Amino acid sequence: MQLLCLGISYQNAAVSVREKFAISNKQIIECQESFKSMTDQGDFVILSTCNRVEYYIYSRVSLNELFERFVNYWKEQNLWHSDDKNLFYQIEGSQVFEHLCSVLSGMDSMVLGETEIVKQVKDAYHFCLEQKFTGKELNQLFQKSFSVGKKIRTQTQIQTGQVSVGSVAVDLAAKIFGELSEQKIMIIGAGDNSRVTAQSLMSRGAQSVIVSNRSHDKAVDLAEHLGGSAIRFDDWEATLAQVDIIISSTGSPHFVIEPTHIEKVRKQRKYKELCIIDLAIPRDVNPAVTEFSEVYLYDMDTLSQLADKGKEHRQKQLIKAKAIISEAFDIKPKQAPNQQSSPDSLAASNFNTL
Amino acid sequence: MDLTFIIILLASIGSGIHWNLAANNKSSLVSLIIVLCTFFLVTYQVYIRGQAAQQCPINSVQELLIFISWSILLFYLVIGKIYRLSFLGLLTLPAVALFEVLGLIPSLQMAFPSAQRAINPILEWHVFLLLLAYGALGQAALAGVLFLQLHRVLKKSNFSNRLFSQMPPIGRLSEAIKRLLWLGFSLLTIGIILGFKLDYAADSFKFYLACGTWVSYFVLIIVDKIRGLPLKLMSIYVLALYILNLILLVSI
Repeated sequence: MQLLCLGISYQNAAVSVREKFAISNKQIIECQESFKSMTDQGDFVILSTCNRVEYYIYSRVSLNELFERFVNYWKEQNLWHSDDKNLFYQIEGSQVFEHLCSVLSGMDSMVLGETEIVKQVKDAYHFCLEQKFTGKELNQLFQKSFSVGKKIRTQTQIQTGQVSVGSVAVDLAAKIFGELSEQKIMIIGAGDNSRVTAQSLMSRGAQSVIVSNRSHDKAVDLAEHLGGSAIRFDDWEATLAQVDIIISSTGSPHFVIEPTHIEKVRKQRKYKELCIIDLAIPRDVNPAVTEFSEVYLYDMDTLSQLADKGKEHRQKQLIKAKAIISEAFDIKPKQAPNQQSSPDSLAASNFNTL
Repeated sequence: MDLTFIIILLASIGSGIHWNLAANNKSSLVSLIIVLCTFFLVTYQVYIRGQAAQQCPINSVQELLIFISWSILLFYLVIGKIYRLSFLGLLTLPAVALFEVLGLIPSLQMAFPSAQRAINPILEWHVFLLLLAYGALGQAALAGVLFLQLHRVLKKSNFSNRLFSQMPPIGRLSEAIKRLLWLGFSLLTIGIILGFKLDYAADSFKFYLACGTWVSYFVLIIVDKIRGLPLKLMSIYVLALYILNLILLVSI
């Protein structure tokens, strides 16, 4: 009996492939007999997220044999395409533990260090535990991996710093206002950048959004999507006095927000702090607005640089994280999670040391 | 070792620990324990002097500075918890160390001519409230310094500043500055009203200074209330007013 893992992830499979193999809890229950049969009544946990689909299995079947059985099963389901074979990674023995720790700590995630994966793995594991699909060995594997994953997150800074322009913008707004729940946001230009950044702000508690766009229909669509209100493009200046955060991303070839616009509303705003996120290229906001002490302006260059620094910082934490995993299992860090295991590593695998 | 030296040593070590923790993006209970120990030692220092004088210990500039140190620490412990501004410890402990060091200047240890005053509960309360007000306004000035630093970082997008990630948001600092200003002003107002009931008020420079302080803070609060003030300007005023008042107090 040994631990095995079959999976595909964003690293080598496009979303069109991943979505074919995605499996819901309902489908897992429906197909449980097939899985039990393929694993010779082994134990299994199935993790299916938008970025990966992984089967964690404890079975007497060899890795190659198991993969063949799964391929046949997928062929029966009309899911299999001959090109898919190279997209699957097959891991066995101690490397399964190492891989699961990497997944749980966010080391293997598309956004390095992201935390959502922890809940996704926990949900997948608890579902299979409740359905009695797991046994002692898989329970040990997951419990130990949760503990190592937590250690990595607390002892390294793998989740600190922001790695996307949207989240950097939100962090800066939070540094200015603290709680964002009381702040009013105005979006000028209803493009994708604005939408993503506004969504990031709303995920941090912001509630009030006003959208203004040259095409009013687009403004209405985005406002509905965000649960805010839309105003005509000609009216944004009149609304300026009421807002705390402006996200601007129009296709205008010249500045949309000029110092004169701010000057007009300063008294009315009682010199309250105003955060402007300029996501447009060419820029929408005349940098001269920063002459007003209460105005904080951030453009694409600043936000991108910060996001890059965040990524770099998280990358540096990988070495520490790998050392924690090695220490937990007393193994050398592996090079890549998506390589098929060699017979040597098979011999070295000994999960009983957990 | 003399109690003053122990306090200076503790506040200096505490400042170093605070800066080190903040620069390394960490927080620790140790820094709070050091602030608490400093506060208890300064309280004991005030108590000893109070016992010796059998009245509120304000018989020299040194004692005034010690009392203000105590008051600043008190407000730090209160607002640090309420507004999650423990980061202010970074400036509070150095301020305490500075006041204690200033108090060691021989000329500032000389007793005031009016040191031997009759025991009068109104006078004791008057003095106590004014010094408490100086503590609140001092803490407002320190929050102002912190704001000016954060403002500079945010304006220049100089996010490599090692303390940046530990700094509290501007919104929280703004609220703390304004509330401390109101609190200090209210204490000052009550203290001055009590002062009018005292005979000495009419010819005391310290009393005129307190009245002058009251007027300046009153103007600041009213202007902010009626037309609003950019926080940068307000922080500069709060800091400048406090330094001015301290200089006047020390040079009596």
